[in-house]
Amino acid sequence: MTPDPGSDALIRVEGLSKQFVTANSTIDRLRGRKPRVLRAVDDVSLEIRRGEVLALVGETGSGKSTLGRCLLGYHPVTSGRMWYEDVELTVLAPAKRREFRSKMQMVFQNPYGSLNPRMKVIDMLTEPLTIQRKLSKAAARTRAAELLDLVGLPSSAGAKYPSMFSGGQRQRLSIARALSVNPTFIVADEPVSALDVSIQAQILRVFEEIRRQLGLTILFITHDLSVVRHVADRVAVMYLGRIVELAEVEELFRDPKHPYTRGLLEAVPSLVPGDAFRESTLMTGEIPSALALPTGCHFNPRCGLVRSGCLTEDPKISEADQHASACWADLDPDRFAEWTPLEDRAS
Amino acid sequence: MTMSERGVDPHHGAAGSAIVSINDLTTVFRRETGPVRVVDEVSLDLRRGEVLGIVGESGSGKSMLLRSMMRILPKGAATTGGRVTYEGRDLLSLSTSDMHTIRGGEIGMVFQDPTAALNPVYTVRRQIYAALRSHQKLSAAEIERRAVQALTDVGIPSAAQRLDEYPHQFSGGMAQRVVIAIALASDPKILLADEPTTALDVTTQRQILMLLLAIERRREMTLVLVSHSLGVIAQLCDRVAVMYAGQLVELADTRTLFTAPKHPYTVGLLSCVPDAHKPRGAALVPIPGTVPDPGEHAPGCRFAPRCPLAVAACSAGPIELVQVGATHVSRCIRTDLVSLDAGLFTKLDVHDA
Repeated sequence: MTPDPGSDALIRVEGLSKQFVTANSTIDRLRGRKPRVLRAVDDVSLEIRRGEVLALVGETGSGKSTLGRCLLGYHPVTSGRMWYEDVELTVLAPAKRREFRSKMQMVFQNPYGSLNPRMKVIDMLTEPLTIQRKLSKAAARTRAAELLDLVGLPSSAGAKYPSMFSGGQRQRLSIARALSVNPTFIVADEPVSALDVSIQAQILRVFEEIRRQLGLTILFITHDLSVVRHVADRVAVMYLGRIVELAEVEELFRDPKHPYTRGLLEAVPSLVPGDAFRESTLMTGEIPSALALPTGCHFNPRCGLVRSGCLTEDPKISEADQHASACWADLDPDRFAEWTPLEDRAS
Repeated sequence: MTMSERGVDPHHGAAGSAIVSINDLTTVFRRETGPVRVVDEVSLDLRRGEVLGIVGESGSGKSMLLRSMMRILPKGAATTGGRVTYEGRDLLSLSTSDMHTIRGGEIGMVFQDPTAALNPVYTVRRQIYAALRSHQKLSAAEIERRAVQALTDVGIPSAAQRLDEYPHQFSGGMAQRVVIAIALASDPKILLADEPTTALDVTTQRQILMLLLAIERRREMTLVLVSHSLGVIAQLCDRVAVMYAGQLVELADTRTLFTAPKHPYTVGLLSCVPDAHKPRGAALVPIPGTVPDPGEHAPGCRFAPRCPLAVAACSAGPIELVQVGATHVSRCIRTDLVSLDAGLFTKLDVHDA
């Protein structure tokens, strides 16, 4: 299937899976143990629309970072197809694929680990411009000053090394560097999670700004639902390698359908003292290892609504829906009603 | 000079019900350039049976305050002044062995990273037995019974089987439960929890916080919760202390602090945090600038360089705490202008870094 040419999708993913095989020690091999397979991303289909901020949210171990890295080609995918506009990335030769690197950039969580400590800011910003975009030195310097201004740093920052900046300023630098090659698509992986709350808001403001000025498309990966509600146009909720719910941001927060989304939202403490903060009835336990995925619905072992069919029948979200939820209670309410409730199973 | 001489009640209206009184506690880090105050003349009471929240950003001194109280400072840091009075005794002048009895005995502690708190080469059985034995003599049968009970109480399923497992076999949330069980083994009167859920997912965070709250109520314990998360503080605490650059800048009951804060920093924090339970309204309003490095703060009010209300007087000399309500203090000379609705932090753009 090729994407519809009239579609507003910038990035499109069909049935994408990424499996990791666990390293096997010599003893394991002597004992005849087979390496185990971790299904980090499990048959995901998704569209990222031109100019939108799509938030990808889920707990640790949900596969959200792996999905982001697959999109940028950091991980080879196990199966499935990916397109950038109408170019199918998954069939490109490596040399051809490299041409897409400047169009698709990443901003990482840790601004301390992702900047070269021995490189001056100005060199860090001009190097890709002179090498990749073949600009003259003078033109590259002008562009670097524009980039610094765009992310809210003074041009004097160019003469400094990354260690001379605070965490928030380093995250501004990471953003400037990602922007230096004129990307159209940014994957931001927990870009504000390591920052103090007063600095978080500054960096979210920078994201708003670059998106408004440059019309970027952004996949914003985060575990923080409060940030999601603030930055996203649409939200994809991920659980154990699958997208379980996908909707416009306010729609999702006003009327979350999937019991996992509802459980996640309930767990976020409100900023209003005295609001109800109690044990969830919708969700119990912790996310299991992706080495041993449950059969049927991946969420069934933790679900407060679980019924007999959920243990064997695999729910899939329908991309055609405006507000899609991979829960049998939404997908096929009549069939779900006929199944036996299992809510006492956990206790 | 004590604070009462300055006209402010050092117990902030809580006299009589204190289980711990902290008075003018000061802790410094020794640097080549001289000592740097990371906890600066903090006075604060912990009341019997309350949940006290301590909130602040990195470098505010909130963790160092707890560590100073318990005398578990990192290398290079030393408490140079003040008193910490617990049941008539000054914890800072107790002998090392007496302090050892109180630490992990009457006062328990839980930290952010459960895997660092547990010894990876010993089974959970050995670690919880050590905690149970160190504070009382027990028979072999009794100690096993109590260990299983302790793990069951913190919500660990099949506790009897899990006793013989090693820390790495526990998930982050389950490991934190083990740490809590160990902290509770000596039946403490006070539990100090320093960012106990920061490393955990939000669903696990809720489970651990509900557990701490249930234990606090059941045992009538005093719980001190250090957190950078305003939501966690709002939902769990009776009173909140806000710290900035080593100082206590505001203290109030939780409802007052969240609805009528009287320090510009608190107002700034509340305006810059997105809320998952409210539709996206106006843009977030960041606090400009950055948290000062320890010792690098401005003279006078340490928040002045970032404060929209700052005037010359704010930087003229040290700012004292002022009483703004019966149990509400703020370290600000312009509290009459401070309000959540006043739009203090609005006229900023992306360049106000």
